Amino acid sequence: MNAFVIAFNRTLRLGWRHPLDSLNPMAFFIIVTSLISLTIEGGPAASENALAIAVLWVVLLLSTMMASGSAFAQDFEDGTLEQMVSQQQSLYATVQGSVAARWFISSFPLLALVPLGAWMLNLDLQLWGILFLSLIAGSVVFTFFGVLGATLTLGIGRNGVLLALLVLPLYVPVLLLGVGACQRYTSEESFEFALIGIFAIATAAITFLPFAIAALLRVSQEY
Amino acid sequence: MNWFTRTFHKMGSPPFFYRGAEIWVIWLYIIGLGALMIGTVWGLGFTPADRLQGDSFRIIYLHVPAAHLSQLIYLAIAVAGFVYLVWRMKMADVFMMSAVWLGAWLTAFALFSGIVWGIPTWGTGWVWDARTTSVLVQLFLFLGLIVLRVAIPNSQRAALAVAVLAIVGVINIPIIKYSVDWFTTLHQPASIQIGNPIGIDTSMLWPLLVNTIGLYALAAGVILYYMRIYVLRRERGSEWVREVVANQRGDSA
Repeated sequence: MNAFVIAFNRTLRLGWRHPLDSLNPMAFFIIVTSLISLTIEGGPAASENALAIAVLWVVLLLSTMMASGSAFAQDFEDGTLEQMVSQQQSLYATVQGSVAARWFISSFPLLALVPLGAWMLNLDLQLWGILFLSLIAGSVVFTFFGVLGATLTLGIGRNGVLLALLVLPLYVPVLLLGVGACQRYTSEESFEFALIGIFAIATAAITFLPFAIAALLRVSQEY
Repeated sequence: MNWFTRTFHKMGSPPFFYRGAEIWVIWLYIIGLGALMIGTVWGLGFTPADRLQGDSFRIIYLHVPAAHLSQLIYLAIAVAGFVYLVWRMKMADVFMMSAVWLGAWLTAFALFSGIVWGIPTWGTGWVWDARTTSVLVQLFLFLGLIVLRVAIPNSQRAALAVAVLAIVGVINIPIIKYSVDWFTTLHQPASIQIGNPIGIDTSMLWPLLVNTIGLYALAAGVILYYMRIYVLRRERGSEWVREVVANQRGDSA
C-alpha cells in the first residue's frame, strides 16, 4: 500500500468516528444559506441595497456568534470562574463587565469595518446611517445572547452545532427586526418601530441577561 | 390558607400529583378526542366551502388550533421555567420535560399544515417571511430545549439551563404574534381577535371552537400523562414511588 492509500483510509476512518467533522460544515452551510434567504426581501430580484444590508447583517451575526462562543471557557478550565463565583462582589456586575469588555474587543472593531463593507457592497450613502445605528444595537444583543449560549454549553466540550442550535433561534427575531428597519427606511415606510424594537431588546439584554448568565455560572460550579 | 393556595401547594407535591392526576388524564383524553372528532367531522363535512379558497380552507380546523396551542405551550414552559428558577419547584421541571415534545410536534404540524394550505392558496408552500420564519424559530427553540436537556449530564444543571433558555426564548413569541401586522407577509392577519368583530362566519367558527377546545383538552391530557411518568422517574429513590410500584406488582400478580 502506498502512502496515499494509507493516509486516505486513516483520515476517512477518523472522520467516520467523529461525525461532527462533516456535520459541522453541513450545519454551517444550511444556517448561512437560510439566514441570507430569510433576510433578503424580494428573492433573486432583490435590489443591490437589500443584498448589501442582508449580507452585512448576517456576516456581523456570524462573526459575533463565533467570537462570543468561547466566553468563560478559559475561566472555567483554569479555575478563574470559581474565584469569580465565590468572591464577595456581585456576580451580576462581574458578568455585565466582562460581557461589555467582550463587546469592545470583538464587536467594536467589526463596527469600524462596517463602512468598508458597505462601500465594497455598493450600499447607497443615505442608508449608511440607519445600517450603522441598527448594527450597534444588533451587535450588543448578539454578544449577550452569544455569551448566554456559551454559558449554557460550558463544560460540555467544544460543540459548535449545539451552540448554533441554541443561539440562532434567539438571534433570528433580532435579525428580522434589524433588517426590517433598514428595508423599511429604504422603501420610505415607517421604520421607527423596528429600530426602537431592537434598541429595546438590547437594553433588556444588558439589564436582564447578566442575571441569567450569573445563575448559570453559579450552577456550573455547584454541580 | 384559602382553597386555591392550598391546592397549588399540594400540586407541587409529587405523590399528591401522581395520584390526583390519574382521573384527570382519563377525562381529558375522553373530552379531547370526542371534541376533536365532532369538530373535525363538522368542519370537513358540514360547513359551506369558502367563497375564495373553496374547500382548501378546511385545513384551518387543524392548522389554527395547532399553531395557537404550540405558542401557548412555549409560554407555559417559560412560565414553568421561571417558577423553577425562583422556587425550585420539582413539578415545574417535570412539566418542562413533558411539554417540550408535544410543543415541538405541534409546531412541526402547524408548519406542515401551513405548507399544505399554502400550495393551493398562495401558490407556494414556503416563503421566508416573518410569520413562517418565526414559527420555524419556535420549532428550533423546542429542539434546542430537548437537545440541551440531553447534552448536560447533571440533571439539576440541565433543568436550570433549560429554564433559562426557555425564558430568554420568549422574545420570539411577540414576533410570531405580531408578524402578520408589522411586516409585509403573505400570511393573513388573525380572523379572530379580541375586541374586533369576528372575521369569520359563524357556520365556520363553531367547528373551529370545538376543535380548539378538543385539542387543548387532549394536549393537557397528554402532558399530564407524561408528567406522571417523569415524576416517577425523577423521584425513583423515594419511599412513595416504591409503594406505588409495589402496589402495581400486587395488582398484576
